[in-house]
Amino acid sequence: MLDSVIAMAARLRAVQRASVGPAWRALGVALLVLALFGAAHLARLGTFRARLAAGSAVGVVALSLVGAWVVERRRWRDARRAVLRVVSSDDPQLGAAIGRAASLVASPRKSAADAPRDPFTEKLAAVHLSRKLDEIRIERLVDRAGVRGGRVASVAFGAAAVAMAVAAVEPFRILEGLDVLAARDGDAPIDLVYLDEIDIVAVPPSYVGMHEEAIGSFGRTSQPRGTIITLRGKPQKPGRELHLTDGVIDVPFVPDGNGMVLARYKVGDTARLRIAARFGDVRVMQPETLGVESIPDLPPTVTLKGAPKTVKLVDTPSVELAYEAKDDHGLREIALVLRARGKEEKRTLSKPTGKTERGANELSTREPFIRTSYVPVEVTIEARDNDEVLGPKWGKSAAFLIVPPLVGEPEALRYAALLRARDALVDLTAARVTTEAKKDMKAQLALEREQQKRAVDVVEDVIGGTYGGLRVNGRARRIIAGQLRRLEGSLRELEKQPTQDQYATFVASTEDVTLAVDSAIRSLASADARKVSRRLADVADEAGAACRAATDPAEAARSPQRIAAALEVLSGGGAQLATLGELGADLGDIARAGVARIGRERDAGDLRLAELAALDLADRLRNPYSSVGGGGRPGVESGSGDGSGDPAEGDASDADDAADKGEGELDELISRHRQEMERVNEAMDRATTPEEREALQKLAKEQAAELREAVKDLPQRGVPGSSAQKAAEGRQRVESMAGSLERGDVKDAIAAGKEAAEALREAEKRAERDYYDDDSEIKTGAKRARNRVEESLENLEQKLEQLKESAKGRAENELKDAGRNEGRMAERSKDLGRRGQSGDAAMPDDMLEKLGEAEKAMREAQKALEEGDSERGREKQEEAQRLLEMAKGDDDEPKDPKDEKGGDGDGPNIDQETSVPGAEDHKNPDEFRKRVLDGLGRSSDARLKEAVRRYAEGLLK
Amino acid sequence: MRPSRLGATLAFAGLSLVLGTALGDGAELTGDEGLAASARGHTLELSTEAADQVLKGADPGDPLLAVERARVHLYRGECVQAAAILARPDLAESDAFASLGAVSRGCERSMAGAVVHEKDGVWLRFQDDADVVLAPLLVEVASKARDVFERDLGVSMPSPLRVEIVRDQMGLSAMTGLPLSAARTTGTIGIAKWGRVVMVSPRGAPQGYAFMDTLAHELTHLALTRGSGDKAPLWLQEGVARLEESKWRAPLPFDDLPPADDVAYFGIKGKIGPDIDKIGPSIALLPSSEQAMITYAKVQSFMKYYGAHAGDDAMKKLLVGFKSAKDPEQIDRVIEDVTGTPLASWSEQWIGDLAVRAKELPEDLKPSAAPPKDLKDVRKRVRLGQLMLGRKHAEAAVVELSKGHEKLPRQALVRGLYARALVAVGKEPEAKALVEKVDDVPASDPTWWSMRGRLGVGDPAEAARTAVSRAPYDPPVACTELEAPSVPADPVLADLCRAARTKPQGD
Repeated sequence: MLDSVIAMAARLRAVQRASVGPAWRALGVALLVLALFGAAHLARLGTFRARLAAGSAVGVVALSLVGAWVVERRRWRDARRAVLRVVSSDDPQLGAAIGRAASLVASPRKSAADAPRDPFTEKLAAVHLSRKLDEIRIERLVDRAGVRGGRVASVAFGAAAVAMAVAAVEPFRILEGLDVLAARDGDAPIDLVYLDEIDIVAVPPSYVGMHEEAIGSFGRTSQPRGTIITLRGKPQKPGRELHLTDGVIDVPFVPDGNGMVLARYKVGDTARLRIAARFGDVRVMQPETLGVESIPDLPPTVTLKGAPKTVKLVDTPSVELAYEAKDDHGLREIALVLRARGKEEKRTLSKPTGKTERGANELSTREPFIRTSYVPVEVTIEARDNDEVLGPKWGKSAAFLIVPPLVGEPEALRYAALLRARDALVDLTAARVTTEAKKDMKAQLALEREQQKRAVDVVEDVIGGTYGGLRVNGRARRIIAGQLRRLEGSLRELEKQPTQDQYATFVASTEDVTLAVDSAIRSLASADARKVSRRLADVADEAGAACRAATDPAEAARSPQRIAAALEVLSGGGAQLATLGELGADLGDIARAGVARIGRERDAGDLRLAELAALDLADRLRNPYSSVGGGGRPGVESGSGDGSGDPAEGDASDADDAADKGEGELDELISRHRQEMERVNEAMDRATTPEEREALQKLAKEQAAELREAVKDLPQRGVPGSSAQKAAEGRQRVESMAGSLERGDVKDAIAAGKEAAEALREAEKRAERDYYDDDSEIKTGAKRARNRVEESLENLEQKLEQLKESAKGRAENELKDAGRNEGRMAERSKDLGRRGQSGDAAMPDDMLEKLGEAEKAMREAQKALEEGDSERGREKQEEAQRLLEMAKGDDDEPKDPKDEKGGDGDGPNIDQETSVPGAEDHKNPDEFRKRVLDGLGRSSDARLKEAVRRYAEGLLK
Repeated sequence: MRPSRLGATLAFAGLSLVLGTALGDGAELTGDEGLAASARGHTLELSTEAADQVLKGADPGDPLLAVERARVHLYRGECVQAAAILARPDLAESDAFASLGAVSRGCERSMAGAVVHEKDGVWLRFQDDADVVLAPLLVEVASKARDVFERDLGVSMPSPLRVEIVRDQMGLSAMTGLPLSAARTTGTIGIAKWGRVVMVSPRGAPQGYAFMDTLAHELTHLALTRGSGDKAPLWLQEGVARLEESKWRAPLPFDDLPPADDVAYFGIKGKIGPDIDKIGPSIALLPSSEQAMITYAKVQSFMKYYGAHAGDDAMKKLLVGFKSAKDPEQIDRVIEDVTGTPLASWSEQWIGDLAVRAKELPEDLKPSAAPPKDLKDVRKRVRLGQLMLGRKHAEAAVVELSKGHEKLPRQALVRGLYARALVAVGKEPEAKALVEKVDDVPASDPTWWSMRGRLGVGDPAEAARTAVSRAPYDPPVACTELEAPSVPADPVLADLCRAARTKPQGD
């Protein structure tokens, strides 16, 4: 019976399959395609959500279809129900009847106790069921299924039509969408073409100096960093957001107004460039790739000749810095850089424009940076390039490590050398005091001469040497040189008179020379010790400041390093100081103890007490006197004394005192003589009437204006050796003459006028010799100007002569007085020289010579003044004054070390602006002017000296 | 070096004692004056522990008591603590304690990083750690002086005795308040003040000085301050200190040369210098060095006479008398109370005694004697001799120094150097003759003593130590004339010798 139901169900299922199945399948496919197309469009938004939604939609549709299929299969699994469902949908009554009939056939026993079913009844039920099944009208059901299948097919068709329509509009979008949907890590798996007709141009940065370059095709290219790569193409699919990307940086394509799009990419690091369409977070790449190798702009390379090396400035007073800087594209600046202990100073040496720069400079030991650093200074030459992309880069040379002299090292070296000189004299003296004079002195004289030469050679070497930039100058040099002369004199005396008595005098003289030199050296050592001590005081202050800085959070990290550096400098400088004689030994010993005190408190962690110890040391070193007043002995004696004085105290030689006295006298003589010169000048001024002076000034001004007019057409410059050059020189001198006249300085004007006339005469000669077109013009102009100058000179000289003559009578008495005074001063000069001939006050030859010449000039001035010849008298007075100043010679080094800092003319100050003070400015400019005049006016010949001085004055005016 | 080269020290010790008591009258501050006075009394007598007890538990805000606490710290050398207390605004603004504050700060700064050495009840603080080699010698002096004070003055010194060794007069000035200019003008090298002895290290004096006697002298001032309750007059302070300064050691032939009695009588006869009770605030402030020298001799001579004629324990009784005196200005009364005789009578008796005993001073020993005419030439010879010895030209040095000796035969330094040169050329007998007789020289000199030690004259070890006590940083002296690298066997001298050789000496 049940089999009949099953058979019916199968039959009905077959009917259904045949009528509706294909339609359902078509609908499923259509819906799935439609879902995919929709999802592709949704996915093109590119965002995560959109892609998630799109994927989900496709999934839902697919799952729904599978679900429907499963449900459908399950519905046919229970045959009875399937039959009833199908039949009831068509004929509910028949369906109910079949249901009942089926229930009779299939009614199961409810329990074992139930009585077994009657076979007949069962048979009857089956027949009944069979009849009912037979009543099913299959045809009708087939018709109904056909109708339903048709409906489903229509829906499927509709869906397919929609899908087709979507695809037909822009099928590429579906491909893109699906590509985007399948993207991983922001990149779609399938490359698509978006841009066609591509051309690529590379434009290097302008500072590189290269031309633009067309890059033919994708592939590889090498371009300088900063190059702009412009990629232009025709978009294949409108509406896409296209980019040029290196994977990190995306540069959007923009329309160029001609239907093309372009993107400009600036080359940074090496990269692979690709065109990409951006959909939200996803890029769809175009297949081609342009590999760009970035050529970096390298920093300049700088070569410093001889670097790296360590230079001790005490051995080398200056360092030559010869350098060459190169850059791949271009240099902008070359600088000298000094670094020490956290400090840095950069000085521009040049601002080149090319790719290579060479140069040389000299770094002096007197550089303030080095002198005040006291610690090794790293010196490099550094070059800056012109990188406009990443900004300028500095290239740095290897370094010179300049080890400045320890504080006091030059002084210590000089003192050590002077001790060698003294030792040589001590050795000589020792040999002489232990030699017994023989009756026959001839052989002994030769020996004495040889021994003395040996000693004197040593001494002369020492006083001629340089010690870390220091020389033996000033009083010490004068005393030593004077004593050498004395030594030589005593030997000559002995050679003239080789007797035993004379030998005793000779030995005594040698002893005195040795003691005089010893005294000079010790005096210099004391002065040096004071100077060095004051310098070290500054370092001790720095140690104190470094200790204090430890409490400042901004400085705390550097503080230990600063303290250590200061202590190192103090320690080294203290050791040098300790070698500088008795005072130096005392102060150096104090410096050593002070360093130990600071170090102990620092090590104990008490930086406040370390600071106090440092300040205490600074205070002490800034007051560089001996530890105990009164020459190291208590100053008040209490009730005893052997009455013999103390042979260990006081100086054994009067040389230093004598030199001091001599210098004082010479200074006084110089000052007194200057006053006398001013007196004569004033007397001559008084001797001319105001009317005469006014007339002279008027004449001078007129002449000045005419002279300027006369040279205005002359050239201002010319090729060396040409007539134009000489004419230009003549013009300059005429203008100088005019300037002097305008200032009322007629004598200077006459001197300049003579030089001008000479230059103009030479210009005329050259113009005759040469054959250039403009030479004749120069010749005419020079001749006219020379005539005017000579005329002017004649007028001025006549006028001066008239004035002189008229003044001569009026100033006669005053000139005679001045002459007598000049004579007295000549006597003083002679006396000074006489005393400097021998003994502890002995002066060096050059000093005596200058004093002698000064005396002679003063005598001549005396004679001229007494005769009323003021002109010659004043000329000789000036000469005598210069000779006296030259006799005074070099001064010692500045007494205050602060004077040394940044002093003008202390060596080349590289690229530092220094203004020259004007003549009208106050005291310091005056000092500057004086130094310039003194420096330039220091000539060995008194007459030359005056010419140089005039030249320098002209410069400064 | 002459042992009497303590003049300035002595003078300023007196001055400082006067100043020391004068300072600290905190009139402008209010507080517990009774308690403050009690504490101050103990502190001035160097009994800082007793002062501590007085101040224990007292109001820490009381300005007067705060000052006394600072004073206790200062007397103990605790300058950082003293300075911190005196930095309190109310105390810092007080004029009355300005000098106390200045000294505390000066001490704090001068002794930052200093080294402390303590042994046998003697506390030594060295500004320069290199001076630690002197510690055994200083401890020896202080320990022996302590016993001398107990015996002679009846004063039991506290433990520890505090001694500060500064490197120079700047340190001395900062530690004591003595103006630096005054210290330099007078050559002051030691001061007893603020409960401590402050001395300049012999490193600071190129020729050295008798630092051990100076320490004893300064300690005597502390002892007298303690024994008299800080009421002993200046003449007593200086006179007793002069007598006591050499008692820590065996007497030396030059201890009383020229004799103080003879110099004093020379002054009395010539009416040079004030009477002993009219000295004023300080001997160093007298108008001339001649007056100062004579006045020192007077006070020394007077105290010697007093000690000899006032009976047993006269000095002890006198100190007790001063300590118990209500008015220390009434010196006459105190002396009369103690001895039964007024000061004026003592003075008359002393002068009468001098008139009988004192001898005429030789011309060259008179305080106003002009330097000998040959001194300049002898200086030349000495310098040449030193230069020759420095260059190992001993024979030439002998020649030069013999000429110097010929000119000034009694000059001890010349004899010493000459002897050194003679030894160098192997002429030891001649050298010995130069240093053998004490009568040949009028004053002590370290080189002369050193050569006596080297040549075995008298007690060589004692001679060497005497030399060292006057010039501890002179290498030949400190090394007992041994050539480097040899050092003396005595470990103390060996350390000194090494220190002297490494000390910069100048050329």
